[in-house]
Amino acid sequence: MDRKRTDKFKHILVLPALLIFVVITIFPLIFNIVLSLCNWKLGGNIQFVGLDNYIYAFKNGTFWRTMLNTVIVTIVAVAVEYVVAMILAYNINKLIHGKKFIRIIMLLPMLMAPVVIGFMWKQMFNELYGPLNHLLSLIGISGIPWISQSGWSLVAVILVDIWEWTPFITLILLAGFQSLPKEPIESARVDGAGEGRIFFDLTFKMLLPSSIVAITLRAIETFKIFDTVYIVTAGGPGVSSMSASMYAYQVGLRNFSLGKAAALCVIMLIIVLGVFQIVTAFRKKSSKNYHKNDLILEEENFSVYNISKEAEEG
Amino acid sequence: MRLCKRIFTSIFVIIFAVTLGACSKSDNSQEPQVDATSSKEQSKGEEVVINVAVGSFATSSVYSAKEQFEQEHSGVTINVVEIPFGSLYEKLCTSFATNTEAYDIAIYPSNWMSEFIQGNSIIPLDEYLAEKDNWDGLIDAYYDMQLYNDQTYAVPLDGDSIILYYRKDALENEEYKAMFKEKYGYDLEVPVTWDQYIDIAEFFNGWDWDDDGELEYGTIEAMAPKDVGGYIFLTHAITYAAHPDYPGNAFFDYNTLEPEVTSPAYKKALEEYKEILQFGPPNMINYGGGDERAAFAAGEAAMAIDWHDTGIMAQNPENSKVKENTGYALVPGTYECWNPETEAWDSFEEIQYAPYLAFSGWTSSVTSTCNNPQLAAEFLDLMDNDENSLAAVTTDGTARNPYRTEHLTNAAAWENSAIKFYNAQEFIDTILKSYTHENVQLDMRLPKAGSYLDALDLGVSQALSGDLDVDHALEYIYDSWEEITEEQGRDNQLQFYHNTYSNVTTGTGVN
Repeated sequence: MDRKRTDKFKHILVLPALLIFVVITIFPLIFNIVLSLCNWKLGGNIQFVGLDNYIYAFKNGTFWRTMLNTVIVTIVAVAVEYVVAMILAYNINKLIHGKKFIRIIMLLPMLMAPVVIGFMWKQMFNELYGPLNHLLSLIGISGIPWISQSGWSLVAVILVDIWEWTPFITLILLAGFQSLPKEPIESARVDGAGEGRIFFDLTFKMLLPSSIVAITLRAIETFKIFDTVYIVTAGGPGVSSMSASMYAYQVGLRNFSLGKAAALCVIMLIIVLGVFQIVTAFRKKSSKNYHKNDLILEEENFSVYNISKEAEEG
Repeated sequence: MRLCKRIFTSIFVIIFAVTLGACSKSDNSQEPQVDATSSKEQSKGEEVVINVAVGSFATSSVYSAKEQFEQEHSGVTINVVEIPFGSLYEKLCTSFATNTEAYDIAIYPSNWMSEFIQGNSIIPLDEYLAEKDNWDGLIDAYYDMQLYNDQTYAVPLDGDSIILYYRKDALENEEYKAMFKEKYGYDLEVPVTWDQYIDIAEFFNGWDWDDDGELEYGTIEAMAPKDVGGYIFLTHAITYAAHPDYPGNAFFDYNTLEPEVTSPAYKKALEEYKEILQFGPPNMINYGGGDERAAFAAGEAAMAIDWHDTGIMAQNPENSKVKENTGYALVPGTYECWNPETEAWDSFEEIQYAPYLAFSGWTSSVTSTCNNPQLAAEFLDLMDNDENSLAAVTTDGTARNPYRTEHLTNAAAWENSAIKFYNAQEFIDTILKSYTHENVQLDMRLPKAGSYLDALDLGVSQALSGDLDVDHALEYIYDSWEEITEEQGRDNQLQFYHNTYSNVTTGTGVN
């Protein structure tokens, strides 16, 4: 009886936090879902239209084109960011002096306002006067139409994202490197394993949890990319670099078709949730494998220990 | 844990149901308030704040009027709410849709007016401005555009038309004239057709014809997506689509509202527009209006197509290298127009112009939630009085262009203004000619005009980038326009479309 009462009391204590969570997070989400089933016209009339907005979204070729752009940017940018960040973190971790200074320098791109970054890169990409094309011309590459040709404009968006967010993954991986146990690496080194073998067989696997966190966070954020695209390419030429978020913005706030935009956002949310579920499943699986490997390793070590002990005794 | 899940699910379901119920019942459209109490009575002994929503780059003349108004009306504060232009539509619509009393006055692009009238978001001003005595001074088209069903819903603050700018030191150079004639077989003059315009752009593209040590280009047009490219493309298309004998068919079929964008007129224009891309700076596809103006003033091109802003910027000695070398003309015309009835090209002996009042200027209205409509209307009257409007249109950076007869007949006012306009007479004559031309074309003035233009912009920019070919781009625009029309209701849209033309006493009027 007493335990039940204590449980109730605990739940009552949680209630204010739950209420704030509902108001701040759940209500806007539900409002968005409801809005996606309605048509909101100027003058205050909201009409229930059922699944019309979803049918519009599924039939809308431009939306799926922008979705494809978003997926390409997310996959390419996050993959490159991860590889570059891993190289940087690996090398920075080996430094004896200057780690703090490098960490501060790495924070700079993340501290800058996205609008400033957008304008800065827009100037960098200027075909005629931009420093990027000037530098490339010194090595014989000239006139890259960074933001004025389909294909290149998407490359430009990816480059800006890499520049801005590689340090973020680097910092997460660096923290991961610093928290790794030294013993397995040292024993592997004693056993004669090379740096490459140590990295791929031990360090990389032990860094998997940090890697998955970094990749998941960046993938979710990149999937919502808006500000950089809006300023650097405005989604153009045509819609060649437009992200799905930007298209939803255009439909919702430039054309004031809030119901349609809400439906686009719900579809995007479902896709992100799907990806998140896959990543979570992968993390669980790799975590299981990791522990399983640990056990095998321990058993192997134990048998090796026994064999050597027997040999010593023998 | 189970209890938590139950609580959470229950909350989710309750909120969903309540929100859905609230949304489906919501119909809080508001009747316009009528309060014609005199401003003096209202300002006696009480503090009144008038909130003015305005695009951030058009605020300077609002601040000047604010000072005057507050001096004349003690107890009244004009609160200028600056909104970035890209967010202006969203902020106004959100405020109107939710009936918040955020703004008393809205200053906005004139072609949004139909939508605001439809939503009862703005009120007729006739009774509040009964004593306004300078309506007669407005250019006819700009007066007509403020009307709906014979009621005045707005006070215009700006005029717009797109004209051609050219460099006199290029097009009037004897040596270049000879070279041009040799290459193209006819005399180099200010272009009167788009074909000539393209030839001249090609001729002056990619060499240093003004001996400043830098490459110059043939022409500059704003082509960037989500900027003003849609208007510039329409300037080309309307030339062919606005048949002088079939007014009201430039955008849609006048009777059915079927889009005209898949007609050969638009196809020809889009092909030309793509061709022009090669005769401008390499990244012209990303040039917005601001880039275009700055580049022409910096002496980068022989020609440009734009609103009056380029002309004014080119006169500002701080920004311009071309102050004394700028010439002005109507945008090129055609000897062939598309006949929407016979669905064939009609030929003309005389050149046919169709000056386009793109954007149709900033206009200002009193919102239906305003508690002091009389005061608000008087503030608008002050902004539009003869003295203030002349000062505003002759000053660089106000985003206000001429829209009254006096603005276009008083060359001395331009020459004596802060930027000391050079050759003002030619500039204002060209604008006046564009406003009063018998085939002048008003902008699209029906609810969701912005959405129609956005769809056009998306289609055109995909054609420019090569993502879609010309036919598919125009079909995309056609489908999008039809979808918007269906969504808004064809009859409703037709009513507004007809109003545009039936009110007009000049140019395209269907009388």
